[in-house]
Amino acid sequence: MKKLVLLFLLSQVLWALPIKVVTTLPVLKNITEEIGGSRVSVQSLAEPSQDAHFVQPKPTFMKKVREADLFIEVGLELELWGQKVIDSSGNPKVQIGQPGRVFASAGVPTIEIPTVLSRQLGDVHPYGNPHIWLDPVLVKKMAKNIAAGLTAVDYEGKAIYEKNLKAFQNKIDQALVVWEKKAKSISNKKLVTYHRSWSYFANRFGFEVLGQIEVKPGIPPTPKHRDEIILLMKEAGVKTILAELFYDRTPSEYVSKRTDAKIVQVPIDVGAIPEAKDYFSLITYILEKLS
Amino acid sequence: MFKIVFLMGLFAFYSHAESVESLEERIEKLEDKVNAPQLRSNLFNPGMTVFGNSFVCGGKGCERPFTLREIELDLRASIDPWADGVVILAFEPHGEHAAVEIEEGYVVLKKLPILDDAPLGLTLKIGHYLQPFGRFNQIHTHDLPQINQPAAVKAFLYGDGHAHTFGRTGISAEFFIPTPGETNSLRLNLNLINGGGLGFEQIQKSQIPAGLAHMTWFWDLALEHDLEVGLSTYLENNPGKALLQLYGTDINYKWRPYKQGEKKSLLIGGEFFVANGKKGNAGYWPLGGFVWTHYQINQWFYPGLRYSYYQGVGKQDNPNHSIGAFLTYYTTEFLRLRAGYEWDNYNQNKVLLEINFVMGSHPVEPYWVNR
Repeated sequence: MKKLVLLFLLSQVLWALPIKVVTTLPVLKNITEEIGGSRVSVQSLAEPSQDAHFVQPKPTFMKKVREADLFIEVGLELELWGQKVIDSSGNPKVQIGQPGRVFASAGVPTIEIPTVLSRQLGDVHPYGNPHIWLDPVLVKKMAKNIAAGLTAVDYEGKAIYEKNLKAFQNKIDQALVVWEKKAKSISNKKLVTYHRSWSYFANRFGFEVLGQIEVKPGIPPTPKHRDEIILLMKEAGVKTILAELFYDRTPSEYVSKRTDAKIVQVPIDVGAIPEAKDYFSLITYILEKLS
Repeated sequence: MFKIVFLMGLFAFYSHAESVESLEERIEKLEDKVNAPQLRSNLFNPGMTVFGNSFVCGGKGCERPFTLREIELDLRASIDPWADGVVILAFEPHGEHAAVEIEEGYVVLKKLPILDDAPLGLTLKIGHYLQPFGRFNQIHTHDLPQINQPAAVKAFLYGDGHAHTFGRTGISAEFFIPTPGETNSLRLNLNLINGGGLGFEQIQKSQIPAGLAHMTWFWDLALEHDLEVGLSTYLENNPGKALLQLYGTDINYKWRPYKQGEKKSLLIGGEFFVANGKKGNAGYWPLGGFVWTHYQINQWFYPGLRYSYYQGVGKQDNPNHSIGAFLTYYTTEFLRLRAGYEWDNYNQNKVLLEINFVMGSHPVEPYWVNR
């Protein structure tokens, strides 16, 4: 009888163990925690201050993924290093086609899909611009994909995930009203960005991105390109250079000095600075800095 | 009457809300259909990459001034839900003609359909592959952080030619060894391969497979610093000869600050070898090894240094010392130019200029520092 009780207790403990989720980026970790609540234990592989394109697939990542029930990535060939981590993890649950693999971008309409695929265009993404999480409306769809992934590996939690998803999406809708109001109050909405990461953000909040300091995606500016950008900014009256925290300030400073534009260096992911502790504060912080 | 109008209004409101909701759902489903092909459809063709590597050599120790070292064709794809395949063909010049070598050709079994899980993350590799003895030995020519393999690697593992002397064909089992904590990982790779001797000790083919093991311990020292230490063992038993033994260790330290993006990094590494005897002489254990460093000044330039040493395993019985200095310039991750100078205490005193290009769906480590 004692053994039966012990077995019962053990099964209850095992039953209560959270679903182990590994995400590529901290923003995906944050959304997953919002939806999964106490049913999930989430780890992000990339650090918030890292460039998501260039993360080193370390053996410690593989160790984390080996234990995972669910692996979540943006997709759209942003985290090319993710597949190497999965291949070396030896975890069959998170391979492509398995319930434990989630592409948060599935079904998200992308923009800037190249019409010609050539390395002459720089580091282009064949399926379109992958920085989709910077549009809160698209994040609602990403959250839905994540909820579907959680349900696929933990059907018992379906009702909770659906409830939390609804709450998260409502929270986005409510925040969107505030964010859009904030964006409307910004008078000069013309921007030059360092990398082409801000297209979704600009479309959502009515900013106009006139060019990039990079000559092509992933290719640093040449002197000629820098001069062209300076001319363009002067002619169009662009007064803001928007760049991610991890980029070198030197090229932006060169342009800024010659155009009197202010450099707004902001995080692109959750947790890079204390003020951007979750998705909502990240978007709020970016808009604050632009205003 | 008012109540009826109110109820009808309420009904109309809810039906409207419901129809908007179902319309939204239908739009979303249609969007899903439109966007469905985004999920990494490679139309079942293998991912294909071509690497090209040439160099110019001047000074003492150069065979010819211009050398097309290799053109390599890398093909890889999933075979089915449980296995991946890799084929790498190298086209290398031999006089006025080119020879095709199968550099690698193997299948990786991630899990068998009859098993629910892969115990300890076990993966099996079967076929022809670069053997995991040390670190440099596993790197293709076009991926090296210097123009060529260090002299010690050539002496112990390559012999006189470019090809490895000990066999590349066999079976490998790689798995994690559980360790406490999340900032370190321990992996063991066990291999049974065709024998064939070592760089300095080529022996006749035998029916008895050789054994090779490589254990790697990786440690995240801090957020931007990591350390990897490996231990390698190669054992080959040939009838009528002493057990051929080769042991090695490899150490690599890496610093890469996140906030600098791709602009700064430092790598320091080394590998050391010891084997049992030239021509199987009992009691004679020649040593060898190399140390190197590679500092990234900015997005494009990486100067580096290398020192290599080995004793009594080559043509000469005296020790061999060589020093090299290299400067690497990347236009992008797909095109690399490298200048190098090498000196050794026998007959080398040469300057080399290398060009390396990559076409196609390159694997995920664009720069060497990301490996």
